[in-house]
Amino acid sequence: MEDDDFIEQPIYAISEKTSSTQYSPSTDYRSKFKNSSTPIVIDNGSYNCRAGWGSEKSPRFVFDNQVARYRDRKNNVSVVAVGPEIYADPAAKATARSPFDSNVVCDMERMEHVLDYIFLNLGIDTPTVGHPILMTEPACVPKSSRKMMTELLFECYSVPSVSYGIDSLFSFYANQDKKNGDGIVISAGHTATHIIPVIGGKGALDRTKRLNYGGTQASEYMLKLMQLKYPTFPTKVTSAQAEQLMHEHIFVAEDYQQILTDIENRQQFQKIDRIVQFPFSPLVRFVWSTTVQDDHANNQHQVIETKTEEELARQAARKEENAKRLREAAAKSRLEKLVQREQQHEAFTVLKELKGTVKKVEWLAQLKESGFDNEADLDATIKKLEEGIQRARNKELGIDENDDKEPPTFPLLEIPDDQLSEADKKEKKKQRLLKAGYDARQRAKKAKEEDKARQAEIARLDDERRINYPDEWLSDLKQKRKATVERIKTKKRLASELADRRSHASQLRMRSIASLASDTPASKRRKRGAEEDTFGADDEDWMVYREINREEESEDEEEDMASLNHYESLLLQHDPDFLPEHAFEAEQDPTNTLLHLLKHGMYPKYDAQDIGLSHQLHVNVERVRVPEVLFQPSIIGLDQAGLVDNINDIVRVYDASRKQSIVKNVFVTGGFGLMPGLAPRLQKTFQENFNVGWDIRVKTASNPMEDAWRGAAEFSMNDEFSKLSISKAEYEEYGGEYIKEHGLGNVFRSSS
Amino acid sequence: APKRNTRRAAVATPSRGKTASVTPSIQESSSRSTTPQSVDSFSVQQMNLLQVPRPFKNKNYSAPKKARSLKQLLAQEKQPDFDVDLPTYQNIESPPSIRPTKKYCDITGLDAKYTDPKTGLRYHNAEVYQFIKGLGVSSVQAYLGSRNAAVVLK
Repeated sequence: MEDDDFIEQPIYAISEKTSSTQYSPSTDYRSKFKNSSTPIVIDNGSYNCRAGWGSEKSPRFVFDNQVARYRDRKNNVSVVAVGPEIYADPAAKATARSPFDSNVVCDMERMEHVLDYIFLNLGIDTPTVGHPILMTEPACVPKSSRKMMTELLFECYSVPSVSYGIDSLFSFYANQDKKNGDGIVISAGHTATHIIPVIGGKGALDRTKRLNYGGTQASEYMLKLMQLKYPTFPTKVTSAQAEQLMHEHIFVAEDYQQILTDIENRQQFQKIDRIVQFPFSPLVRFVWSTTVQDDHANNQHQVIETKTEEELARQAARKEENAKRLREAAAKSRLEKLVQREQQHEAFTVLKELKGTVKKVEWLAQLKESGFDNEADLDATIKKLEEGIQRARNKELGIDENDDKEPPTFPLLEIPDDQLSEADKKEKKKQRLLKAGYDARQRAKKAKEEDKARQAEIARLDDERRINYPDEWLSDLKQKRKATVERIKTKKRLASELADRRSHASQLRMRSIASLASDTPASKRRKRGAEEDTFGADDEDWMVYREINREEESEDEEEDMASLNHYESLLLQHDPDFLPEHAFEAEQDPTNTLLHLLKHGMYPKYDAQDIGLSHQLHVNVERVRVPEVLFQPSIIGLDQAGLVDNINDIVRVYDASRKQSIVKNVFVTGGFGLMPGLAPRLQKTFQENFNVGWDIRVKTASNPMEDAWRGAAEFSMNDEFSKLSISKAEYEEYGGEYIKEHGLGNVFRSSS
Repeated sequence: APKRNTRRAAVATPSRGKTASVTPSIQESSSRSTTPQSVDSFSVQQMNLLQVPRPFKNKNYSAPKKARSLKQLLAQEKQPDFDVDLPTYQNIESPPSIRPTKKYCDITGLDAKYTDPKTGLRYHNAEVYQFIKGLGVSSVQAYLGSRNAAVVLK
């Protein structure tokens, strides 16, 4: 296997949205729009709200559809902040809520603020909003939501007329040259994905389907996946950051199974894996030479300590000094001890010599004073001191003292007992013991040497064998290694089984403990009438305690590992096929595992201590998994059919010619539809599901986020637009739920 | 270069009743007279909607304060009299799939040919299984929760 090519992986930053374009009231209202009936077009989406004049080409305002209502403590005022104003104040960010619940507007108070914001920024200064309104609403919106919205528009702003439509159909309208063609619209939105067939330019709402998976659910899922993958991640990943990850890094796999197989291949993995670096601050220590770098990209202050060369040198020098000081202190104490010993030795020798000069009794008394029982004691002490001094001197001089040790002599042993005195007999006993010890030591030494010689002999034979019969030797070696590995694995397995109380091994163990502890063991020999307990007579009986003992037997393990290492080193040397990664250690190494690959990537080698690395996360499988939920909602346990199944189901009822014209015009719109790879995947899936040879074209909106507004604006400037909207009088007569069907909106049935 | 709109005038007049005195005295530029300015959290003037005059509103009307949830709205919808073909918010929801689901590993996301009988987690290979064996109960529930299969005791 070749070495994996190292592909330099770029590191992506994570950044949270901290600002948005702010708007201020327009000044052109008076000159351009006052007293005209230019419609105001509002694409009211759950992610962004887009608003502007119907006569213009682009929406004037695009802002997050969020409203914050809170009390500003500093200035003691109530604040209402809409859209981009939220980023000004963290208190606003905390209380920001959408008027939407899923894709339906439910909070009319917040909706009122949003409308205020729109009309204000349009520059409207008249007592009423005197322009027809065209708004978007979700497909098959609940009646009460529309009722509340219409009520709000008519009662609060006294608009002359109101009209509604479906945003994805408007987007489709904007992207078609022929306005009355067939097609199928896939609207991948923020809170849901809709599939709406279009027949003759009009949406077929009765064949519409909605999938409850959109941008929000995708970023939530991404967050969940990251939390599961990195449970010990040092910082909290916020939902805004997860949304960022989702926006930047997902793509739709053209063949999902293939991508999953690719990820396991280390080469392909590097192409798919992406590293995302989260902001972190390195460990700060108060050092004289610190440089503070303002990192504008991350919008954070990073204090980096610069350990200069001199710093390191100074530290090293300090360490050296300490070590030297310790060494000197040790030497001094040794010297002191030596001097002390010598002094003692001198004193005691003097004492000994006194024996000759002073009377015996006096001398004994002196001895007792000094702390000795008799002369022998004194002699022994003197001898010890001498030895100590000699050893110390030897150490200083570095002489190895073992060399010049002579074999000890035991003169008394040869003299038979009856010739010796009592004391001498004792001496003889002592000497006999000493001799026995000495002999035993000699024997042990000899045995060791013999053993060594035998080992050397075996090694030599082995080498010979290797040279003469290389293949057999190699296969033998492999067998031995395999057996050792098996043994190690079995031991591990047994250990883990014993840990589990309910396993068979554990139960056997319990049984043997119980039988050992009981007074009446179930003995096999009862038939023969043997009443005595003969446990222990045979050495093998004691092995049962070994089996009961649950703790690890480290000596055996070490032996096994040692022999394994020996085999493996030989294999490495002589077997060309055995590579370091086949070694048992390497296989056990956690950095080689699949889980490690997915979590920490391949390079750089993961080091738990590195702060930067611990703040990195890798998106690989998640990149394709999150969008795949659209096609297989069972991935997150959503009990719905996937995108393709739904499309098949929808198109099924139409006749062949209609089907063909529909698949010729597959249209993808919506912010969530911006993810790369969606159109090719849809193309491929359609080709699999429909007849060979049919012309299948998948088209993405030219501007998936703004085209809905554009289509609505285009629609609003039509001649028949005024006939399709609800006037105030009609509202008062028919109620707030009433709308006029126009093919790009919902259908209406009156409730009696 | 078009001059930036200042907001001094807007903030200075807190009362709602005044009309038409909001216009700052700056020349009008072509079509897009709103000049968006990028905001970062250091230097920002927040536009408080409550302090800006909104002459176009009907002062006597106030939106319903209680925000209802979608569930409540849906409960209000009356169904029975209508024909079955009429699409409603609830019946355009996609039905469950009839195909057998493809199983993916709960830990790695790769193909899952095996299921752990003890925890119910699906896994990709033996190595992942060893990992699963070492998981605690809360982790297991978290993994199952990612595909909505966690045991929820209410």
